[in-house]
Amino acid sequence: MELGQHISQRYNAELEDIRNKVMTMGGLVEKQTSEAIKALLDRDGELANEVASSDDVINQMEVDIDEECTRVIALRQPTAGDLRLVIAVVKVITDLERIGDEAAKIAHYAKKLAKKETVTGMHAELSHLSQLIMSMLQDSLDAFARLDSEQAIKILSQDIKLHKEFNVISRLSITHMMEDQRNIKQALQVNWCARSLERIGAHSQNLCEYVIYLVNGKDIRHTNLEHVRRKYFPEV
Amino acid sequence: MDRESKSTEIWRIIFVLLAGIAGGIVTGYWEMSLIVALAAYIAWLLYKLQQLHVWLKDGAKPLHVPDSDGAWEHITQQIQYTQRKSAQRKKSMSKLLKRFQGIIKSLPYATVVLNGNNEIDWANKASMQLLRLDLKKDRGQRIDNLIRMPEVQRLLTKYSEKEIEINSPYNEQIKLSLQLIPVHSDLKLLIARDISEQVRLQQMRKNFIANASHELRTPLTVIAGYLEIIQDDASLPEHLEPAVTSAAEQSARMQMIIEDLLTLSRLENVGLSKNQDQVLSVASIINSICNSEAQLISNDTHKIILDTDPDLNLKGVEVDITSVCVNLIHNAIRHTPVGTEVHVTWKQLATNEACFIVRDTGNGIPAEHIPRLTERFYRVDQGRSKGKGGTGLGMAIVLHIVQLHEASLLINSTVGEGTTFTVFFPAIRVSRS
Repeated sequence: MELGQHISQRYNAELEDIRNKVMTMGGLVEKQTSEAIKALLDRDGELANEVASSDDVINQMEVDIDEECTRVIALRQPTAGDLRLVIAVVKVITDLERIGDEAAKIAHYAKKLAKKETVTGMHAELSHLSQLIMSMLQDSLDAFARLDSEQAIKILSQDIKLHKEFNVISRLSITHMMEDQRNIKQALQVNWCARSLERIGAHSQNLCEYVIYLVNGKDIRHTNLEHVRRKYFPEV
Repeated sequence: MDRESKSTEIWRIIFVLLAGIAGGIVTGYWEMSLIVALAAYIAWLLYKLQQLHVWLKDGAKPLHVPDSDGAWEHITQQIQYTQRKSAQRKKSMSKLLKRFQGIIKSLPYATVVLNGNNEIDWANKASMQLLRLDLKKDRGQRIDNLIRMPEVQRLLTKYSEKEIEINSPYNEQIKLSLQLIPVHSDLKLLIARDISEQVRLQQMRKNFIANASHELRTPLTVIAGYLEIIQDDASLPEHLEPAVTSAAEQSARMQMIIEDLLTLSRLENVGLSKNQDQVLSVASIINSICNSEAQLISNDTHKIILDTDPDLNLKGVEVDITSVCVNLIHNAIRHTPVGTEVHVTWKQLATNEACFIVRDTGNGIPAEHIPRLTERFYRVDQGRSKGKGGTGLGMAIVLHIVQLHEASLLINSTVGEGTTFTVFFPAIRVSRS
């Protein structure tokens, strides 16, 4: 897929600008997420505080990009690939903003968890899950930057792995709760963090769906992944 | 055209004319015969041109050179010669280019060539590993779309050649140092190095100093304590008194050095945490230093002249700002002769910056020492300064604190006239009450 083939140079620049802004926003979201995870794993209350309170830049960016997209639709009446780009961007930034929210949530729980000596030793499991999530988020943003739908479909098929990791943590926290009722509060908090991480993974996968929509023009939401892969990406 | 080919051509024309004349003699039609002869000559010329054209069009291969002599031969030779030359030049150019590319390619540093819009033009092998760029896919892609860290975006928009340190986006354990080198308006180089090892070593050094000073502190306290008891003991033989006094003095000095080392390593390791910032009245800090401590140190040998703005407040860490003031004022007293005036000023500049100035009218510091004053244990005059106390770490501590407060330190000195130390604090840290 090629961008930047318009007679109007300004139009080109506008579309390119929107895309770059999305990537900038993506960068911020990545940083927020990785710092929230770092605060959670290193039990760093100060960092968690910082992350929990710096969500507004991302929110502002969402509003700005949204407005710019509306303006492009109104003034330029984009068609075909350009229209798909604008529509995809509108959806991508919604998901990015949600990822930012989830990161803030993780930071919020990390703040609480950092205060107490941990009883629920789930550090290894959490770090495993967060590594997977970070690589999913990074790879889907890379796929969006490179307009690489093959990479996107690869990320989409990590679904099962993601759920497995999440279930491991759920099961563990239930075990901790059954062992000792005093653990319930912390175990619940850890479980909420895992839940937020899982949500970030799901949102990253949404990004991948938009990449495929943008590049191949196919809306693959709520369809059978195996079917899609066989039909459009036989070589992956 | 050289002479030989010229004469060939002339002979050829003479031959054509003679043939025409001969035809005229035989047939009796002079004009017709001449016209036919000349037309034949023109046709031959056209045929030669056509041959040359075909030969050139087919790539002017040396095997298929058209048979010719005279000027034609000369032309084909010339063409072949130029061709050989340009082929040679091309070969040497491509060899040079290959060498050059090979050199950049095998650099251990990841090198990315960017155009004016920060789009990737070229990248070497190391950048594929370090930055995970894939040149086949990523040519023309903006670099900040792939390395999306806010710090990198700031680096690209700011056009500074300063190096920045980031964690590798793909591996938390790897630290990268990035540098942007603008070559000209449409060409920039982004260089990335793996500095994890360096960072680790530096951290080890910091940890070592911190641990060593910490471990030395406890035994030293015990020694100093016993020395004090021995000093106060009435039964101490008189001949041992100077030895014990000197030992006590030196252990006190050592304690000071260790305290300073610990302060330094605290500043290095922890940095400033935001919630330690308080709004401080620097004027009252300066007053308390000058009233209580300076009298002790200087024994009224120096004249201290204060000029402080009592309403000007600074946001900072109290212990650290106090330490800056103490160090600078003590230095001004310690390293200047008796009777020197020391001016201490705290004021706001027109640019809203606040500055803390300590100016003395002492001997001044020779210019070659000034850049090294903030080095640890650096002494301008090895022999003299040791007797005056001090740990040799004061200026290093000052510089660290100044940097942590985003401030800057300026040292001006003229030998024979005196020295001025100025600390500029940025406007965002300054407020008025």
